[in-house]
Amino acid sequence: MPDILILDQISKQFDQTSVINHLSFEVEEGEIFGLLGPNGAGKTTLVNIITGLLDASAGAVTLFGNYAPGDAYARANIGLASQSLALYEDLTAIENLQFFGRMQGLTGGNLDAAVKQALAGVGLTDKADQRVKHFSGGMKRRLNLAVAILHQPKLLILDEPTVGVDPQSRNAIMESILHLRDQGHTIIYTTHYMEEVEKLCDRVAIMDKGQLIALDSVNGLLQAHGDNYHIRYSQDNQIHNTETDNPLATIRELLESEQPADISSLSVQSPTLEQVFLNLTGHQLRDG
Amino acid sequence: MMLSRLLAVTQKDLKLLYRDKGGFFFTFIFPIIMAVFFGSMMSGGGGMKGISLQLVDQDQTVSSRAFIQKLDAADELTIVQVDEDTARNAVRKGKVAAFLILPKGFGEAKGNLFSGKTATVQLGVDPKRSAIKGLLYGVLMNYAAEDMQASFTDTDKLSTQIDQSLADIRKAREKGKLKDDAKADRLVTFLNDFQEMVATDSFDNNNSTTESDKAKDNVEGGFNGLQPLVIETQDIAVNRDGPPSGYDVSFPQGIIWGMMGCLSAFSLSLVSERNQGALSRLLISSANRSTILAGKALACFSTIIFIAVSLLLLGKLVFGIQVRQPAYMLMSLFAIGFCFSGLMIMFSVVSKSEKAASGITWAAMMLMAMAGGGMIPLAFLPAWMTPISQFSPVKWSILVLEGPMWRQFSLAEMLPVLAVLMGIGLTGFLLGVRLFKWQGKSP
Ligand SMILES: Nc1ncnc2c1ncn2[C@@H]1O[C@H](COP(=O)(O)OP(=O)(O)OP(=O)(O)O)[C@@H](O)[C@H]1O
Ligand SMILES: [Mg+2]
Repeated sequence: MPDILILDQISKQFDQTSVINHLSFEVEEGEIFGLLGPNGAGKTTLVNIITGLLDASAGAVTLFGNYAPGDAYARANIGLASQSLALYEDLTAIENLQFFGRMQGLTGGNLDAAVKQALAGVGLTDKADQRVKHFSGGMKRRLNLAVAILHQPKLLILDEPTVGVDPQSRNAIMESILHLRDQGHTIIYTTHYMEEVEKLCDRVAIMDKGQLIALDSVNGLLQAHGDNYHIRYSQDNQIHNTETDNPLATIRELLESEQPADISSLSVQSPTLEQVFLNLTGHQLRDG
Repeated sequence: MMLSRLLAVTQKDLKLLYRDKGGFFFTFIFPIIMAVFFGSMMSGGGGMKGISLQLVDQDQTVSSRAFIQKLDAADELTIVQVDEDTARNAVRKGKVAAFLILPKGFGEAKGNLFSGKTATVQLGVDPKRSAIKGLLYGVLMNYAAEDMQASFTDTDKLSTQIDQSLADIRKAREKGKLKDDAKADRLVTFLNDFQEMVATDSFDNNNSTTESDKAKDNVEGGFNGLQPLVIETQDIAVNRDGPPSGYDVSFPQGIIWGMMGCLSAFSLSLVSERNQGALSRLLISSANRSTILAGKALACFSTIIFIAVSLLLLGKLVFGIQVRQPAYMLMSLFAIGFCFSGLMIMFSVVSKSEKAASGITWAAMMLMAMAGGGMIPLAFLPAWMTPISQFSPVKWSILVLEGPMWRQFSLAEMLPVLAVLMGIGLTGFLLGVRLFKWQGKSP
C-alpha cells in the first residue's frame, strides 16, 4: 500500500518548549491509523502540522506522494474534524454544511447531494434547519464530523471526535468511521480512549510528551508490551494474583493442583493498551 | 470557482451580521438615530419646524416691531434679528433660507392705510429655492393682511387713521399738490362716509365675534383694492460654503457611524472565527486565503454601501438633504467602502482575543471619529485639532460625502480626497493581509 502520509523527524517547539520530538511514521492508504496519547501529548499539534496550520520547527511532512502541507492539492484532499468545534453557531446545520461545502469547491447538485449524505451519515437529517447554538454538545460533534467528510477527502483526520458524545452517538460515529474506511478513505484518529482504538484502528501510534513510544497493530502492541494475563482467584477466603502469558495453561495447572474445590472465584484479565501505556511510560494514560 | 467561494463567504457574513442583534443595531439602527438626533440638534430645533428667517428692522417703529412680533409667533417661521450685512451673508452662505428687511418708512406706510403708500418689505432668497420663496410670500401676505384687518376692526384706530388721511388730503390741497381734484373729492366723500360708518354700532367689534366677523366681511368687501404689503424680492445667489441644514451635516456623520459599526462587526467576526476554529477550517480548505479575506471585505463593502444609500435616501425623503452631484457621490461611496473594508481587515489582525479586539477597535474608532469630526463637526473643533484630524479617515470620509452634497466640489477637489481614502484602504488591506498570513501560521 502506498503511503498517504510520511512524517520524517518532525519536531515542534513553542518558545523553547519542545512539544514534539523527532517524530517519524507513515500512514498507509486505506487504514485507520490511531494516535493515542494523554492530554498534552502533542496530538493536536501534530495534526495541525499535517494540515499545514502550523509549521514544524524541523523535519519534513509528505502528503499523497509528493505534496507538502498547505499545498492546494493537499488542502483539497484532507478533511479535518478538529478538536475545537469549528462551526457557525448562528447558522443552521444545513447552512454550515452548505457554506463549508462551497468553500471546498462543491456547487449545485453536487453540493446538495453531499450535504444530504453527510447529514444522514451522522444522523442529523431531522435537525438540519436548527441553529447550531441550540445543539447539544454531541450533536455539534457529529456536525463537526459531517463538515469534515463533505468533500470526500482522501485523508480524513479526526481529532478526538467522540469527546462529550453519549454512548449511542459514539457508536453511531464509530460505525460511520468504519464505513468511511470501507469506502477507501484513509483515517487518522486521535484519542485518549483506548477502547476506541482497540475497536477501530488497524495500527496505533502511542505518543507521550511529544515522542513516539510505540507503533504497531493493536495485537502487536499487546503482545510486545502488554502485561501477562492477570489471573485472580480466591481460595480459602484468600485472594491470589498471578500473571501468565499462557492463561489456559495456568488455569489448567491451577485446577489440577491441590484442592480445586476450594477455589470460590476465578477471573482472567487480558492485557490492555492501558497496561501497554503504563508499561512503556510508567504512568497512566488517563490522568496524563 | 474561486468566485463562488468568495460569494459564499460574503453571503455567510451578511447572514451572520443580520442574525447578530448587537452588530445589527450598531450597523443599521444606531447610525439612523445619530443622523436624526444630531441633525435636529444642529438645526436648532428649526429644521423641521419652520423656515429660518433673518430679519433686519431698519424702521424701528412700533408698527414694525408689532409686525416682527407677529412673524415671530408664527409656526411657519423661525426669526433671528440681525443687521443687514449679517442677513445677506447668512443667505449667501446658505445658513438660512431667506432674509427680510423692513425698510425705513415701513411703519408710517402701515399706519397710513389710505395715503396711497403701501408698506414695503424686501425679501432676499435663493432663486433656486422657489418653494421657500412662494411659501414666504404667502406667509408674509397673510400676516400683513391680518394686521390690516386688525386695524380696521379697531374702530378708534381706524377713525384716527381716517382723520389723519382727511387732514393729509386737505393739506395737499392747500399746497396745490393734488392733480386730480375730482378723484380727491370722491375720496374725501368716501372717507367722511366711512368715518360715519365707523362711529355707528355696526362697526363696533367689542360685542361679539359674529359681529366682528361681519365687520371684517364688510371691510374686505369695501376695500378690495387695498394691498396689505408690497414684497420686493431680491435674488441672492447662494455661495455654498456652509451646509444648508443640520441634517446635511448629521447624515454624513451617521453614515460614518454605520461604517464604523460595520468595520467593528466584521473585524470582530474574523477574530472570533479565528478563535473558534472556523478560520482554521477555511485555511485548510481548498479556498485560498485571499478569497476568504476578499469575501469578508466584500461583505463589509456591500453593507457599507447599503447603509450609506439607505441613509442618504432617508435623509433626502424625510429630512430634505440633497445630493447635488450624484455621480461624484457614487465615487465617494466606493472610496469610503474600500477604505473602511481595508481598515476592517487590518483591525482584525490587531488583536487575538475578541474582547481585546473589540476594545481596541472601538477605542481606535472613537479617536478617529473624535479627531475627524465624526462626533462634533470639525468646524466646531479647536484649531489645534486641525493637523491631527488630517490623520483620521473619518475626516476624509465626511469631506468626500459632503462634497457632492453641498460643498459643490469640483472633480479637482474630489480627486485628492478620493485618493487619500483609497490609499488608507489599500494600506489597510496590504498590512492586514500580510499580518494575517503570519498569524494564520501560528494560532
Ligand atoms: N500555541 C501554543 N503555544 C505554546 N504551547 C502550546 C501551543 N499549542 C500547544 N501547546 C502545548 O503543546 C503541548 C501539546 O498540546 P496538544 O494540544 O498538541 O496536546 P494533545 O495531545 O492534543 O492534548 P489533548 O488530548 O488535551 O487534546 C501542550 O503542553 C500544550 O500546552
Ligand atoms: Mg488535542
